[in-house]
Amino acid sequence: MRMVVKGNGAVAHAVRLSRAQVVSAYPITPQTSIIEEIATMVAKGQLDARFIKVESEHSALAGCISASSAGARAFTATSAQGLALMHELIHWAAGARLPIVLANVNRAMAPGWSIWTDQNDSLSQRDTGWMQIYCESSQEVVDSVIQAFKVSERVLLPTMVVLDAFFLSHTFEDVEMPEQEVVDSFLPPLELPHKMDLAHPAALGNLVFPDRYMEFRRKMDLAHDLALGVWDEVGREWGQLTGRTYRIVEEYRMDGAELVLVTAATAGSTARPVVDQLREAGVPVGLVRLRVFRPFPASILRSLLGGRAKVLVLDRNCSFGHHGIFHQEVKSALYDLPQAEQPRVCGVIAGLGGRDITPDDLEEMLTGVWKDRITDPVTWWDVLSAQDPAKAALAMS
Amino acid sequence: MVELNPKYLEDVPLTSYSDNAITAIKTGTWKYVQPVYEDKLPACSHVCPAGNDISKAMDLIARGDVAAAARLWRAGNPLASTLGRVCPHPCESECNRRQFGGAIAIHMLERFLGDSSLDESFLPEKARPTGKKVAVVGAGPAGISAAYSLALAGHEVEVFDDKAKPGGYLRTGIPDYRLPKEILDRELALVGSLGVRFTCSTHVGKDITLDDLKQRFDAVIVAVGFHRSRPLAVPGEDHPNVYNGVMLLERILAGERPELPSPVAVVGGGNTAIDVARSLLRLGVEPIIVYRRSRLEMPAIPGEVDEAEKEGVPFHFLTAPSQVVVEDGRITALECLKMRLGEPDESGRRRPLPVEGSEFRLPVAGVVTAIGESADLELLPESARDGWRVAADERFATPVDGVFAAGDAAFGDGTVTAAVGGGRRVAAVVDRRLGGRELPAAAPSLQKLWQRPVEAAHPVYVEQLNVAYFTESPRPQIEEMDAQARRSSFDEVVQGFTDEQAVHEARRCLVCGTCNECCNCLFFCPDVAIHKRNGVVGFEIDTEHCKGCGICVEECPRSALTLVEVES
Amino acid sequence: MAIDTTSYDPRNLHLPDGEILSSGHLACPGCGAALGMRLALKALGPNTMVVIPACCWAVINGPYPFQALSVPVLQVAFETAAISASGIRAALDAQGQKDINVVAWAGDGGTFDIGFQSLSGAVERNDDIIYFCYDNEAYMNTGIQRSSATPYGAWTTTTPVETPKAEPKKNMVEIMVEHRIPYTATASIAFPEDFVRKVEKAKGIPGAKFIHLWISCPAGHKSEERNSVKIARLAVETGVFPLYEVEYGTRYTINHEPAFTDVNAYLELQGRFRHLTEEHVEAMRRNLRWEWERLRAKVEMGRKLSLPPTGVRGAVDEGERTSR
Repeated sequence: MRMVVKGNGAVAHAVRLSRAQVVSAYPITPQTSIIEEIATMVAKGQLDARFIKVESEHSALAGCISASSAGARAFTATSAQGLALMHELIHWAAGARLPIVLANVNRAMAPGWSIWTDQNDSLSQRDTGWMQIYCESSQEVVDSVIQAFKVSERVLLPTMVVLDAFFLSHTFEDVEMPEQEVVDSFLPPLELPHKMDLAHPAALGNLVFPDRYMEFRRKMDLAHDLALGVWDEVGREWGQLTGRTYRIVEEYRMDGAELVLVTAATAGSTARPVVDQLREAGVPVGLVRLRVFRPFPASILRSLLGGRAKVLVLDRNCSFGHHGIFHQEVKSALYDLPQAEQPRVCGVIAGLGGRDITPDDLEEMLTGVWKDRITDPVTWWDVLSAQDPAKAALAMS
Repeated sequence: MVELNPKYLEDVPLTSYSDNAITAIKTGTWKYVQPVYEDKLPACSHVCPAGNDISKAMDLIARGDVAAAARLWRAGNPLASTLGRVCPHPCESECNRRQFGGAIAIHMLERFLGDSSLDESFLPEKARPTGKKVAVVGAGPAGISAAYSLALAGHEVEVFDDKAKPGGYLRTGIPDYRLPKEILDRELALVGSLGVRFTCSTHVGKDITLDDLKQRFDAVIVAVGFHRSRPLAVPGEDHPNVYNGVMLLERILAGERPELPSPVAVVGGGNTAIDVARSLLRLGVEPIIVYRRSRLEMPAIPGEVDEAEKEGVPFHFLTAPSQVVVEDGRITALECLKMRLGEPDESGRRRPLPVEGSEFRLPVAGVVTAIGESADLELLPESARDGWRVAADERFATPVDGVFAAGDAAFGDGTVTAAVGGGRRVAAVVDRRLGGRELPAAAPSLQKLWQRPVEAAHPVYVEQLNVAYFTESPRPQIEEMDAQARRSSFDEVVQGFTDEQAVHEARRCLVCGTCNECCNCLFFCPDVAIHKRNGVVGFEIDTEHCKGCGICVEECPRSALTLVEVES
Repeated sequence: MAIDTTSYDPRNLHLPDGEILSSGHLACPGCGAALGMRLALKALGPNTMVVIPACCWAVINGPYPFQALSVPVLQVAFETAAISASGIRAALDAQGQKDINVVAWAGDGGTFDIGFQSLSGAVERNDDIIYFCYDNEAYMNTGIQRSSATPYGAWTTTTPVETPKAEPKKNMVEIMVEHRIPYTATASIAFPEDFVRKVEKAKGIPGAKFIHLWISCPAGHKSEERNSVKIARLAVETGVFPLYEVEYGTRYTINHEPAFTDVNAYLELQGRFRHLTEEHVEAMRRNLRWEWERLRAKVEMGRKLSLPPTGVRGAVDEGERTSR
């Protein structure tokens, strides 16, 4: 069924189609319309879920954790400060090996208050054991949420489905909404192997001494390794059912590309016409859009980027004191390549706090790298320059 | 179940999923002290001269098992019904329930148990015959008690008494209104049913000698009691209307109704004085009790003094006779001196001292002397006498080999109850002797003779109880015959308990020192380390998991648990 | 046969036989929290799921792969006891599983302090859970630090004897009462029948139930292990910890009229109060009298008030599981 929905609406519909049983959520801009729509669906009986309207994001995820532990398919959604407040439980959900799906609308962290997009909120949760998938369109949001439940329940790790604030969350798009029967055939009811069960009483989360702890963490890491294959498999299976096949990493015009733009989320859609345009102008540029960020598709990136001349990583985030986060990750993946196949990697940090990244910006970046006008390892884009960086770092005004 | 010792990661669950029973962890190794169930001697039994296991019996009655309680009581006490009537019940003075509504009416419950078990089915099982023979001289309470325990131990026992019927002072000195003789007869019949032979109207020392007995028997127990009234030693005492209290009582109890003058001064403060006075009252004579010390020093059972007072007997305390005034051949008065109390004498009571010039005359027509009795020791050689007592040591042995002694004649305790207790203890000594074993340094304590082990070194007083579990519950009213009606009747004054009253009263018992399965220890254990034992009374402690916190010991209402150090 | 009922005979201590707690757990000797759990589970029975946040019980329940309860247990983050129970209830409802008690079992820190917000949220939603706060009046698991449940005058490692706690204990029960939940009660390990009765009552009431259980902690109260029940009893008998219950935030019932034993009897058994001066103790006595005046006034007030009207509070609507 074709529908015109916002990114947030896409999330809500996907949750409905996935037959989530427990939703536990707390409002935060720009996530609010997700839970508003879900509340309406529950109220109208379109979704047979228990919606716990909690008093904080911390409780939102805690409610999902316990509901999931008790065997229910659980969902929550949040953004920025809310996600940060959940942080303790983000670790908990993964360590407890619970297949919770969380939609995070990427929003910049305060202070100062910003409700607009960047990726520092979700990337701050990189090391928690969650899987992360960055979406580009409402269609991808719908399909990814459904796939996320499937993959999560296969590998018993939680998934964060990430969408840009406003550019995606509040932008109406034409979406092919899958039929319920299709989703049902794709996503069987949850059977959690370690759920709370009166017939097999066990304690979940008891104290673990040093001689036992590390095994659990090793198993989490192994599950991530496994998940890479599962994401691929599930993306193909979804394609067979709907005609929309998804890959872990989306490549665009990579044939003969000597300069590759690596980015994620909506910047990918901005980039595609720019790539076309530059190709027409004779620049051998290609695009790699990171979709699944955790587990990190290092070997895929190596095979895609190995032997190319240049790589430009566009980060809508920053790990202060070091590079953009995707930039670091890509570089570390390429380090394993033979010297001769290693491309030169430049990073651009742009679009923080919702600042627009326009096609012109992208064209300028790509051309700059291609023509060796941009050679610094990291470039802050479209930002006031410092006359004296040391002074600028501390100057009040 | 999660693998305890995984070899591969495959053997490890997804997360800290714990389903192995934690009982595998032996937390009992943490402790340095541990609780043990240890029944202790309650304050009541501590002072019981007969050695009754009171708390256990109360518990059994409270559970409704009167038969078991009666059996327990009769295990070493052949005179339960009798003692239930005549015992001065020092137990009640010590009863820890005193401060929570009044002492348990233990004497009433003893009487109830005795009266509930006046047939042979309540007797303990007799041991196999040993072939040994024991002679008991004196069929009073000490002799009966010794004979009973020895017969139960399998010995052949013959009891000699100079009176026509057994019972001793119980028959000749205690009026029917206190002890109906059919009760005594039924208890004696129970003793007889064990094979004990009563040879009456036989005065050892006259009709048969001690040497004869020593030849015919493997052991002899002398328990002849006190029967001789001591004289007043005042002028006029030889008048025919001056009566010997013991003999007068014996005549009255035998059914005689002698013609007596009135009023009569009854001189003395012991049970004989009170019993005579109350008996005279019932014969229409007006008695006046004359006692040289105060009421506090009276050796008589306080309750009996109360009863005499209730019945209208007047008392003259701090009064000592100095002369029986005879005019015209008739007694007209008893001349007396007022007394005051000085320092305590060797009996622990304050010595009476005459007040100079305090003579006065109490107009009376007769006098009864009841100032104390002594034993008839003619049967014994001089070496076995100690003044007016039988010489006996802590083992109840006399200097004559094979001859033992018990009761008032030897120890002068002065109560039927003590005589019964002494009988049990001497029997234990004799039994040991007959078994060919060395005599102990002292006769075993009465608690040593109990059916259950009990820690007797630290009797349980209120301080040892957890009184949080006890609230006030009033002592019941004991039914008595109307005081006016008693003046013309020798019928029993006190009415016995019904079953309901008995159970009700026994449930008031705090069961000090004895586990009654209240379950406090069981339910308050944070470590679930106390378990009910299957089919048996009591609990057991899982020492593998008990951490030795001691809550069970502290919360036991009755001090039936003790913390002991763990042997390392 | 007529049996005396005027005397309290411990023979009549009637508690359910079933044991859900097993021996071998890791509680300290004399632990009131272990005893409390044992008694609570006797009343709750096997159809129970227990949420345990960070607290002593997170350790007591055992090291992986052992556990002390024969019902499912979910250990959760410190501040999430109440919502975690709510989540389980929602999941069970979603899966059509009925007649299961969902229980949160949290310490005073996890209730009065860090878990306060989540608790307020859960009871405001009137989620169908029984929330137990086992209160040993400080952060005992971390080594005896002050919490807002620590009483006036008490020593803790963060309120040393030079500056013992200057503030009175937070009145958590009244805070719950003002959420107008169907059932709020206090309980004590020294009054097991009262405690069990309250748990059984709570089981039968839909909606949010809060039971505040006072427990002893020998390690944190600096008391003798054997005195754990005795101190708990004295907390009640001195009036320090009243045993009462409140229905729908309105109807107050005092369940045990204390003997009002002098508070010293309670204080002197605990080293955490050893430094107190007579002035401190006198201040406590005054405060106790004042607290009891308040409590009795509430009992009176409750008698005059009717229960909240039907239709406003979900819980009052008969038979409704309000977490839906």
